[in-house]
Amino acid sequence: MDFMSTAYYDVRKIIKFLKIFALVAGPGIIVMVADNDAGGITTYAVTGAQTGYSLLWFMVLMGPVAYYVQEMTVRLGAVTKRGHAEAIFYSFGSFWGWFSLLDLILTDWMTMITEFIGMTAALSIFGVSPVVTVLICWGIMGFMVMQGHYWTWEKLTLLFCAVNMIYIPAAFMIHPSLNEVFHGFIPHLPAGGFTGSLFFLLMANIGTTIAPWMLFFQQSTVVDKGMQEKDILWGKLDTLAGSLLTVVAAVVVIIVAGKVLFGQNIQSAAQAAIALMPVNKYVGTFVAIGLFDAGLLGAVCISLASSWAFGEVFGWAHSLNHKVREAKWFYAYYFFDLLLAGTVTLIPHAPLVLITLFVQVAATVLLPAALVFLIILLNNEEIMGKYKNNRLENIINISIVIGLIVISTGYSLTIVFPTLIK
Amino acid sequence: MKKIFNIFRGFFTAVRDVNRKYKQPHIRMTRTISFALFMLRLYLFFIVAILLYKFISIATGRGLGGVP
Amino acid sequence: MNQAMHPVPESGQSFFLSELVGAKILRNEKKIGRLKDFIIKEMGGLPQVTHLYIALPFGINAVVPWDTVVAVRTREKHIMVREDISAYKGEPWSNAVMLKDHILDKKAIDLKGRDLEIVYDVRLAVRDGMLYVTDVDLSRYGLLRRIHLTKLADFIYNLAKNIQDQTVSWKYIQPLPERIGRFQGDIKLNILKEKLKDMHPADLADILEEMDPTQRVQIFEKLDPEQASDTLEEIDPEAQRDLVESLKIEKIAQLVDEMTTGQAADFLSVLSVAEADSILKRLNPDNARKIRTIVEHHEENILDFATQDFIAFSPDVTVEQVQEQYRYAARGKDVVMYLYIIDQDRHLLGVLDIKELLIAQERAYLKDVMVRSVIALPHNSTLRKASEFFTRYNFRALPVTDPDNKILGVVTYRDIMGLRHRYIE
Repeated sequence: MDFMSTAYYDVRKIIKFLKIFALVAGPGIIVMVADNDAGGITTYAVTGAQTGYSLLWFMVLMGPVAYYVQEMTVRLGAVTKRGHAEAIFYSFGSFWGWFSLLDLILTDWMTMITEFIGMTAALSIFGVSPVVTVLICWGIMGFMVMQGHYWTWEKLTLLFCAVNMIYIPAAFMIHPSLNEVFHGFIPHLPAGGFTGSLFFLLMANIGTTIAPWMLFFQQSTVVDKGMQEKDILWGKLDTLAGSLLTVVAAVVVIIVAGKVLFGQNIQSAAQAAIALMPVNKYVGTFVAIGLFDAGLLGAVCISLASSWAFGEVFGWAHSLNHKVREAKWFYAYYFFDLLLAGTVTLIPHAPLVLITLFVQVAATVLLPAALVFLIILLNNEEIMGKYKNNRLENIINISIVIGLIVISTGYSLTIVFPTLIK
Repeated sequence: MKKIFNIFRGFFTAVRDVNRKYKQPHIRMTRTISFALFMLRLYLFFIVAILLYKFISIATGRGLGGVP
Repeated sequence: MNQAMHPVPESGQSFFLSELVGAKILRNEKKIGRLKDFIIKEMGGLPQVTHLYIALPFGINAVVPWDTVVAVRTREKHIMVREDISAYKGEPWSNAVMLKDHILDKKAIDLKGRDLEIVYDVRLAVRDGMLYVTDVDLSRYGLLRRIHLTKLADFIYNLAKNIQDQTVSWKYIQPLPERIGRFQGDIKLNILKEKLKDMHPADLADILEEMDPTQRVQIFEKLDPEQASDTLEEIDPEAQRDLVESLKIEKIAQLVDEMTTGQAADFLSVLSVAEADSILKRLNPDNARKIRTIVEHHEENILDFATQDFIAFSPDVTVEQVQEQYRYAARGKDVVMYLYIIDQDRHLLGVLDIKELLIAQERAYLKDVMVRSVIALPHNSTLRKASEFFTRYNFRALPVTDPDNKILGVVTYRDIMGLRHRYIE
């Protein structure tokens, strides 16, 4: 009898735990899945095509990196109830504030363009013209934010996150050899050893793991959701779940590309989808849908990240819980971003390659600053109280941050000076 | 014309308000923090210098391998 | 008919400002300039137009008194004047209140509807040769007229007659300055401040949210503590944070102390942990502990939301005695609409609605008029349970009792149904 009653209370406890998780979860999953945006999927497809399954183990390492960095934004948001942009202005003064804000706006805007490029490329596989694609995107993205409830937006976005998992069935449909896949998870170097192009690939993969907008986005979402200090544990779990999903998505894309396209010269995810079509129509379709969805998710989140940042700094009403009429500027900037990025994509012969390159460089200028600020803020007792980084977290976080700074700087330097390696 | 001028004026007022509000950093500047910020500044100068160099080398045509 | 013969414009004529701005100014049937604006003066009742602000050719302006006007015709869009207006050349004086520049497109508080709206148009009417501002048009129709889509506007007007209701009499309009001090009509704000006292905290909160932070603090400091406390709780989170930053922490703590634990927790949960901590330290320790429990844990025991500030009487007092003592007993209480009847050991014997008390026989004892079958929440209830009880029974407060039927506290409808709860259990 005693056993029964303790079991009853244990179950009750677990149910309560899950209920709170269902209420609190969202921001972490969204930011992590959106991290696999059009550019991310492209990187994974290229990685798979060049190295097969050989770098699967490396993808797994990206999970903790993303988790530890993003988890800090959860704590910072839940404790200060302020967004990242506002936190930087407040703590470091207007010089660093403007620097971060302007660079964020620039990076976001250019990343948006790459998302639109991804989406138009994905739908053009189905014969949809770019103009129609851009219009569809504007429609969906407008609809997602306009209803005036954070809750609705979050659930809609989570739905798109679920669509993003479409790569998983795609990976099963091509029947990869489990043995080889398993072998891919054991750390080793691909055939050919450590070459310049492999180094470049590794850096590209790290570069897509953490983007500046993710820090700003998750912290703002946490604040907009009204997360409190008592939700921090669940917020961390949410981020952990998200980082698992991001690794899963990366791994399955690499499996698909590694199995079918290994050795082919693949430059983009859309190209990969086209190359997959003759092999297996469904897999090709799934990859194209996934690419469109990835672009859409990325575009929504990135655009919101800038809108939130602007709103926080200028003191405009900036919440998805506001109606358009109540937070005019917030929504105005969101749509401005959408329209501008979408239109640029439609300009014939726009220097899109140059833009993609610029995104990377601009992000590298901002990322180190944002990460350093994060570490400083998370170590400040006045701000964080008992939620500041403990010693273990500091060791992990600081080494991750230093690693990210060095590698992403190296990455953008090799983009700007392609002759550095090789 | 006047409308546009007004929009700009509103914008500049807003920027000035933000500057006034966040004039002073609110975080206490310990030695570690000021060192970290100093390093950040160095890093930024470094990046900007390199980009300028790249830009000039492209502009003058003696590129170190052009933009891909 | 030659209207120029009339000495003054016809009485009873009325028109919208948008129809007149830009109107031709005619003298002896010849155009001499265009109307830029009206200058108004407030004289107790409706504001009166004292001057016309006119643009003459070559970038010269003139300020012409209203009594030179002989006719206003909206259809032809012209205004006829009697005298040679070159004598009035010049710019308006610095504190002149201009109808178009200062009122139009400004946010206005409509004190009747208690809402903030944008003034799209202003209606003027001629009475006894003087021109008065009578109404303010807050409807989108006014906007359409402004952009010269009168036909379309008329069409919509006919479709939806009720839009006309959005014309609000000037009496209820208090234009809000963009910034205190810069606006010429400072008087307006004083009127606003006087009316603040009568406003419901929820309405006040709405209005404060629309203001910029400096105005907010200025107005907030005019409120008495109880009203300020209620307003602080009603206002939206961003504005709450702003206020906490600009007001003294002692002041905030004092206001939070007036709140019930549920309200206080709701308010503190939008502040940064550091701010919430420094406020909690200044509160009475027992309350602070309960608030902390709500803020820091996912515990939703109803007792943390219950207040001790309710009115309790013994069953053996008469209605008359209670009626006399009520006003003293109710002072500073959170729950005043019900009397709880308890014995020396705090066993809950019955409850009496204040309405019942008023109509009860004066000689009767409380134990004779009270309701004996009290609906009470068990002490281990959760928030969700409480919200179910409130939805089901429609009471404005519910007592919380332990298994021995001792009263432990009272929870109010507002604390359960009016706050941002998540109802986990």
